[in-house]
Amino acid sequence: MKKWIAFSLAAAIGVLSFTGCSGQTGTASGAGSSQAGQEVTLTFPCIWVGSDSKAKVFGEMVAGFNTEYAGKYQIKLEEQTDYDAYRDKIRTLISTGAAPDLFTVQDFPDLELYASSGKLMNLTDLLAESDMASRFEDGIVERAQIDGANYAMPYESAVVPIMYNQKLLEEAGVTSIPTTYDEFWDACAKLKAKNIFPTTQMTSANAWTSMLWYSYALAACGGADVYKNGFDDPAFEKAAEIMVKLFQNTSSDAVGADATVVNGHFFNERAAIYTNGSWILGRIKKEGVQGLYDNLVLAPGLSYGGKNGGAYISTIQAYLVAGKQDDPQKAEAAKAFLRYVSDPERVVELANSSGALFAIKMDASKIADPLQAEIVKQSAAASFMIGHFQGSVPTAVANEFPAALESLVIGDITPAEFVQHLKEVKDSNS
Amino acid sequence: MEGIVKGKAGNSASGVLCLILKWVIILLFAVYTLFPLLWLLITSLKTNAEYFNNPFSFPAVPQFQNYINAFSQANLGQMIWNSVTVAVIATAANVFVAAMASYAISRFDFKGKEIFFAIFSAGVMVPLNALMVPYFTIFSRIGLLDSMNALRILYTAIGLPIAVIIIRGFMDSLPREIEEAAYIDGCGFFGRFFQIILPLSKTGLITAATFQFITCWNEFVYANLLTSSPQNKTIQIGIRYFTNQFTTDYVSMYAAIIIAIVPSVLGYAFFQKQIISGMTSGAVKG
Repeated sequence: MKKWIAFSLAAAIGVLSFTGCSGQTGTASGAGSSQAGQEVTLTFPCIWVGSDSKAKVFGEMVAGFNTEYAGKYQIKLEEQTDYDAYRDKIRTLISTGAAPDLFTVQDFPDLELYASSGKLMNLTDLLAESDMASRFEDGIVERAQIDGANYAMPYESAVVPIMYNQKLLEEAGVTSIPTTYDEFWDACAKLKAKNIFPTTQMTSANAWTSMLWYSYALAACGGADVYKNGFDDPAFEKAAEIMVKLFQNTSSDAVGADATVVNGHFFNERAAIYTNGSWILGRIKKEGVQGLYDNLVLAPGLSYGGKNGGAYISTIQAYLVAGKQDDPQKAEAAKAFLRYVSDPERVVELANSSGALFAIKMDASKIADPLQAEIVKQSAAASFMIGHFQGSVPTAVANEFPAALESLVIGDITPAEFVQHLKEVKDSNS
Repeated sequence: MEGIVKGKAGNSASGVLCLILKWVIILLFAVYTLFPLLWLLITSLKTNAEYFNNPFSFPAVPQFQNYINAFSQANLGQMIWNSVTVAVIATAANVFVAAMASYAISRFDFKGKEIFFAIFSAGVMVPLNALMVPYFTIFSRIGLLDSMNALRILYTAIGLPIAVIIIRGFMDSLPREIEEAAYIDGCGFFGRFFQIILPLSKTGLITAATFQFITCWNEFVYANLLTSSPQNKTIQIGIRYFTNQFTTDYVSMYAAIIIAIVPSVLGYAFFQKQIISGMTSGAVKG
């Protein structure tokens, strides 16, 4: 009897589940051409879903587009919540010739790789339309070109200020925000004397915040062209020396720490100086100790040897990309969507809801969050803008950075060896 | 055990010391095993701010809302059902096919048998991520993208090498005389397989099934690659619903993880005897 019950249950599960998914097959790329008069559906595997800060308003934008173009175009969002898995999926889809109709790309090296496959839609003409061209920050569309063509629309930008906890600085007797590295080390010494961690550092995962500190050190030591000069530029070694010193001015758990540790120290006022993108402001407001947000003072990069102060780290954080289409209606639908989501009014709404910033020009007075508006103002007045290290070097070098940084700061290798190692990784992957 | 007996009988100092040492080791292992689970459970009841402030503190007020969030925001109920059907069917199919393959390899002599087995077993050494493109192409060509059948078929296949290693090892340990006696009594090929070998290999089959079920339950990369519709997503995708590019709702994610591990823990609790027996009686000798 028991056997029959078990068999019946197993059979029921099998039948139900196989029945439940019949007719649900299809292609992830939404392939297939549309007929005249038929609604065109585009698939968009999207990372701005779930608990992402842009999820709500971006979802509303997509719904708004679907309403406005009802019966003509339809965007079908496919929820992707894990960024690494998303990247793997996009790579696989493109490799197999099934590029999604719409998707996002974070890094320019990835974009170059995908463009070389010939599976991306050429958006040069779209971005050159007078109405579209005027929407973007100066020079940003040109910087996103590959061999003179745009295969992606620059969308979300990462602007990264250095954040100081004014309350902790005052407690330590630091009366003004440092503008040079010398002033910075003085401030660190005073903070340490008060048992406050001067900075927060990490080496785990992609060593994100420490990578940003290294980027600022590179900007200060090497100026705007430091990445163009390559690893032979002495700025890379000088910046590595700064990293060693930064790790002497951080918490004892920095080696091996991840973002949770770093954020935990700053959010709970155990550390005084921090750097991250503007998107973190919302979390500081929500998860930081009471009053932390109001105590924040934002500033651009420091100068080194009297040079290169006032720089801002900024990079395109997300490119909107369309898969190449044989069907002209689908191509037109993709372009209509890109026009729709780059509308400046809609982008301001997205910025206000998420704390993110965008490659589209925004009136700072329309940004509700005062610190976010401050970032827009300061970055507009920056002496120069420069990308961060991770987005400016080949992926293999960016991947190697955390381990190399750890070896550097625990003293296994010297700053010169650190740079040499990264250079070798770059050469072996070129 | 001897130490305990001696200690009780003779009440010697060394016996007591041995007993204390034994319990200290047992307690250390218990803490080592249970602490992460306990930490996960406690953290799943905190706020994100409490988590960042002190990862090892207790919640001021238990946040059961995190569990409600896990179910309501990520639609975990549907995902758990999907994972159950995928894992159960892929496990049953995998063990059945692996048992047939193991029987052939274990009981029949044919040319190149060991080479065939070595090649077959080598599948455990291939990183699954390296096969994303070919698998995606295959399922795309046969029109099974965005369906749970793709996952059932794939999981059945990718678990075969380890299942064959386990089951073959177990079948090798069964005396051939039993099968020969059945043969003399007129039992045919299928009869010997279904009525003699499979029942005797029950422990090995359960061990292989346990590994396979856990693999299916925890698999994420292919679940994400091969499905796209919300109604076809599995629990591992649901867990990641609370992470995004820059921020993570850790406490809701931990609540989702607790929910996700419940079936595995229940499965282990039900089959604990067979699993331990299988692990200790030669099923994994290979």
